[in-house]
Amino acid sequence: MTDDSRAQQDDRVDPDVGLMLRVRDDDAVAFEMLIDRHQGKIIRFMQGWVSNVQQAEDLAQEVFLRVFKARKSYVPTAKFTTWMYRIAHNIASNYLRDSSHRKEYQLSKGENSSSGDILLENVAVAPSGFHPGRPLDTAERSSIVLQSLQALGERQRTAIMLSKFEGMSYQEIADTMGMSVQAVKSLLSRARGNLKNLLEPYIDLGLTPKASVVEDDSSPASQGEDE
Amino acid sequence: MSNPVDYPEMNDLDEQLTAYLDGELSSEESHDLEQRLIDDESLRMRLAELRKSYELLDELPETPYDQRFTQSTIEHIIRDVRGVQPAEVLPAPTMLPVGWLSKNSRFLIGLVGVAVAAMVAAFLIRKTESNRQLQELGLVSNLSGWMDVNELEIATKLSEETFVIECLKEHLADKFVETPPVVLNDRVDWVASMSIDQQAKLESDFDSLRRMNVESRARFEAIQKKVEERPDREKVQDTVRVIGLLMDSLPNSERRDLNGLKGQTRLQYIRSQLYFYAAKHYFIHKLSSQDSDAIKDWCENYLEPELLKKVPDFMRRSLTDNQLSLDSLVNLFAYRFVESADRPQILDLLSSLTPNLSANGQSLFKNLSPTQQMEVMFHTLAPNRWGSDQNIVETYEKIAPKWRESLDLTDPSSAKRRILEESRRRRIRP
Repeated sequence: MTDDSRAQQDDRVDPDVGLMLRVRDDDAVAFEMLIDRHQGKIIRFMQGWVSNVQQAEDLAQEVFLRVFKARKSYVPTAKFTTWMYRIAHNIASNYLRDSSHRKEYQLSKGENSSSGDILLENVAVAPSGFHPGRPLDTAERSSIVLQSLQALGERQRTAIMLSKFEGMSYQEIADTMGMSVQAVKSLLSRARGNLKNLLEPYIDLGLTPKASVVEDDSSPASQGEDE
Repeated sequence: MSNPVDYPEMNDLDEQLTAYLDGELSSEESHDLEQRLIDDESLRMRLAELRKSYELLDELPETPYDQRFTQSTIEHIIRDVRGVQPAEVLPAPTMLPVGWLSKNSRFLIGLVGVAVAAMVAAFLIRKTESNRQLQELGLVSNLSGWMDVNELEIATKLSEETFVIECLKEHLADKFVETPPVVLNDRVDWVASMSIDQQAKLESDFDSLRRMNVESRARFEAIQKKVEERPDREKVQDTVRVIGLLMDSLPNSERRDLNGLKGQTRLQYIRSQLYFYAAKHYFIHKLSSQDSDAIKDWCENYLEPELLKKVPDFMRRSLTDNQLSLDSLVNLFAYRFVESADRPQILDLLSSLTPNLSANGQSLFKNLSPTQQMEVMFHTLAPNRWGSDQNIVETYEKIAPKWRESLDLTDPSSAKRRILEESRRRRIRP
């Protein structure tokens, strides 16, 4: 099969591949369509990593910039979103790798605790505060869920977001994150378990989560374990 | 139920349950698990818990589509690809007529050595290849402003705020462009005389127009036609472009506040933003000697004593005289003051200042909330406080050269952000 005919076939299977191939040929309209199609998802993905919408939008812009810059080397060997989220994951991960970003945006692991507990209440920054026993409105629920997501380790968070919001299969997540399918399976299992622990007080009693243990699977040791 | 981390077998079970929920088990594996679920209540509970917590993620909605995000992303990319800073103006020889660009773009790119990607050139080519597009320049140059203003009546009313608009034209001088000439041929030179930043803005507005739905486009075309027939067309269009630029400079979250606002409410919101930023510009760059004297007197006799009250005793003993200067006090305690003071307190404090300001100063202040007035004053008194441009330059000079080398200065917004973070991390304070 020639590259062209393969590209046509990919185009039919995944319309984003068709757009990206046009972008590769310097089609500006196609690039704008790609931004239009994916901006919401990429910004939401970045919100799982940083503390406010503006930062998430800045990082999302970086993703599209990288997509643009890498357009000439794009080869449609996988789903377009797999390729794009790999870029997004790298950008977010590099951004937080800087200790000052990590310090600022990630949850501080309990300074008073030797077990690595994370006090989610420490990062409950909604101006209204969360008062136990009071029904939470949509914005507060959303905020709690976002904080819980941010409390997960980098890999768990990425896997959860790709699975939940992108509907990616384990194979696709494995391709995106450069892991084996079995490692993804374990990772998602731990991620779901941790998410459940974080959100348990809210599920059971409608309260703000107090404290939960979250593995940081982004450390080299646990990365090895993942894989 | 116990934490599965403590029990390896439960980890395996959790993996099975998760894969089951994700539809990743084979039919045989699913069948086996379902049999176990029938017999094991605790397993069913665990499955329900995992499912419930996952469903809660639905509380996190997808960010709504925002045409301006696409627009600002393209501007960001064009700047990045061209390797210029936002406010940079290319030297005259590289500013060539757009019509010429359209025929010779790729050759030109090589010739002048400007690192413009072929795709960026394509933006220009597409937009300037016909007279029709030159005709559209009137609407396009006002487009982002029309999208904010939305109604000609609002633009007309706001254009009466002559002084405010003049302040903001100065404030936004690096991006502001005049109304396109009436003669089409002159418009080619008009575009060519723009800075790269202004061209990038125009390019993205062309794209906004092209992607706009038919109804919206027809509506904005009708508004543009009406404004061009008015005797005060220059003034109203200047106002519209200023508003477009100002709103573009705000974070997306603030711009979205405009969504759904109509008539008087929209007018008030935009007016409030115009006055706030005009006042910030005025009290630093344009204030009269009367304003200057009034502010000095107010600081010495009213503001400074109030701020000193906010300094805790233990801290006051350890601060040097220099650290107790007004500039430092504003840096350290301004926001504490705003947070802790109630509205009557702020009003009382400001009542000692406002009557002594010049007519221009007073007219700006009257349209600001008390908190905004205090913010403008703090901005005036300590322009080098954390986060200001001056603070960024000072921080840059204080940090280690090796760290500085890691900054990508061709991406000013990113560099600025990193410097600020470094400033916070190292506790470098003005």
